[in-house]
Amino acid sequence: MNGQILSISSHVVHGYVGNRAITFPLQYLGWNVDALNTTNLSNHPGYGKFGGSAEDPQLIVKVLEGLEEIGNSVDHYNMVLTGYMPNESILGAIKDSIFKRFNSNNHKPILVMDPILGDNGKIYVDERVIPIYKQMFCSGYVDLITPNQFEFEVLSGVSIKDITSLKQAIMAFSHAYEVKNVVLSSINIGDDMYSVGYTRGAHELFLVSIHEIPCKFFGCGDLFTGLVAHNFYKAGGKLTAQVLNDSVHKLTKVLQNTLDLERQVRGTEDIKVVNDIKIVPSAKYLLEEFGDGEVVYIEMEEA
Amino acid sequence: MSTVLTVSSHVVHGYVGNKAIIFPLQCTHWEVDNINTVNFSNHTGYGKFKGDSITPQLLTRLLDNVQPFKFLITGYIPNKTLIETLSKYLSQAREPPHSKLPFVFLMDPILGDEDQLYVDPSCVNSFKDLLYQNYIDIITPNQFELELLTDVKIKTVPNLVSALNKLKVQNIQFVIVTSCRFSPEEKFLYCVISTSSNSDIKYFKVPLIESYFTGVGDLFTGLLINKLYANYYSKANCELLDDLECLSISVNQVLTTMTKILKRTNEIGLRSGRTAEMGSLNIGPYELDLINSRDLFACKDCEFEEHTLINSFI
Repeated sequence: MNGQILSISSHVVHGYVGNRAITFPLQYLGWNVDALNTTNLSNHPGYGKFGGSAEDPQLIVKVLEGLEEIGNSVDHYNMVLTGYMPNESILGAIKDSIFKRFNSNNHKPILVMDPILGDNGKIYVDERVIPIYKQMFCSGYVDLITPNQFEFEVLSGVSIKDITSLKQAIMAFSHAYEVKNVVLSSINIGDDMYSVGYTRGAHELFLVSIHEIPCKFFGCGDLFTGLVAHNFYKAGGKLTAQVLNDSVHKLTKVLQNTLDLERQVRGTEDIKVVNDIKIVPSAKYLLEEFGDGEVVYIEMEEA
Repeated sequence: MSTVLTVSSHVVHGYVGNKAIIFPLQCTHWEVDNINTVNFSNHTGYGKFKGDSITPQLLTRLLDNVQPFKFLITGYIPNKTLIETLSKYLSQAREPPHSKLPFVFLMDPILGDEDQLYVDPSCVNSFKDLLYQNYIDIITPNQFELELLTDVKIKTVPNLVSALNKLKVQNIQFVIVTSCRFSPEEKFLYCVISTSSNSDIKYFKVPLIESYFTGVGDLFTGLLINKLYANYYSKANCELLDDLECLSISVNQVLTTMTKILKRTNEIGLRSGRTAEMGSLNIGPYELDLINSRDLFACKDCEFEEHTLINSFI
């Protein structure tokens, strides 16, 4: 049986961000992906020029009602994933629609949220989404979130510079919210880059080192969330080191292949930004299973 | 591998419109850009759905910002103003001096099936207007759509020939009538092909599967572009085969692949214990099983016999 996932994120006509970065990889991995789009844009803003707009929140509510009427309410899915939410009305509407079903039903799908706020110290969504995310994270319904370093700093109120502050940020987050698992997609400690996993109440957190590719790739956070969600589901809803390892490795392979292809096309080695991840020609890497990579476990003083 | 922009419907759940076109093309290494003309919860075969069409203003803004592509597919465009918006874009993109990059245009003139319209009736004339503009390279109507576009009721083979001859005036290189039947008793559907460069009309007899599927026409157009690219467009300099032979091989491959996918889909549907029925939730288990058909999209087998319909000297 194929897994059924409802993925709520942005749509762009061209390129691979939001649902366009999530849908094909998950389909290729065997999921029936029901994609609910929060935007209708020609391309991501990194191009400098784009057309289109955020979706009307009323449309999103209507479409979710339509799904419910054919027996596909959110609780019917194996997994629900949320990504780019351009404004508070859309996120609020989604929160209400999803939690309404979670309150009144026994079966609850795995809920994975990527709290997209910004990157590298800059917020690029409507800041009014933050309190709604915080409410959602207090609900106890969220199984896994996949923020980047900046987003986690905003949510936890702790800036991460080293292992000590990383632990502080995780503890602060655990005290404030009831999210079962946290994956920090990437953090910088010294010259090294890691992906971090922590399960609420666990005595340790774990780090998987990331082979850093010195180039900016739009959409890699969305692809990463899709991969983590897939592995997390496969592991029975448990965040293991293998979940993180496999996701990091697959993403690295796709990004490296993207860069190699981009170098061929542009005829130069010197590439700092790639607008579109080459997901389609990298599809085979999605199916490769990666063995155990190196994992660093760090004890948490207080569980 | 090539690039395509597909302008068709989006449903959150199920496989019609862009959801039926994109994944098979991506699995065969295409870079697919997609404009969604509607955002619906599901296809109309369930008997209920919710969602909206996009506005002509949004369509204009999206078309104004598209990245270059080699192929254009248009499918479900549910109202006159959206078709006119597309038409305006085509007149800018295709006519000198504005024409930037050449692209091949496949139009699936989606109007309805089996004597039932499923778009606004005003779409018929808008598609006719598009036809007269001579922008179309490939067209894939079903019998009902061909009737509406040509004003010829198709009950006999001569009717079909005169309808096709009416289309020929528009100088469309590849014409594929995806399904045609002359009486409800027939256990076959005819898939009929013709080209602007050849007076022959060929056809394939496709055994009818007693069931209901949706998105079949959309899947057909996506698969067809891939096959025509492999057999014709990527080989433009070889010219070993003529247009009709290339089209025939391509359509044969598409029909072979589709038959396998539909059989698989039907088996899954039957296993659900529900009988496929249009306008009811029982259509649910009969959604095209594309996710498990990844191995079939690149299939090059030709399992159908090509027949020649008639020499329709023009």
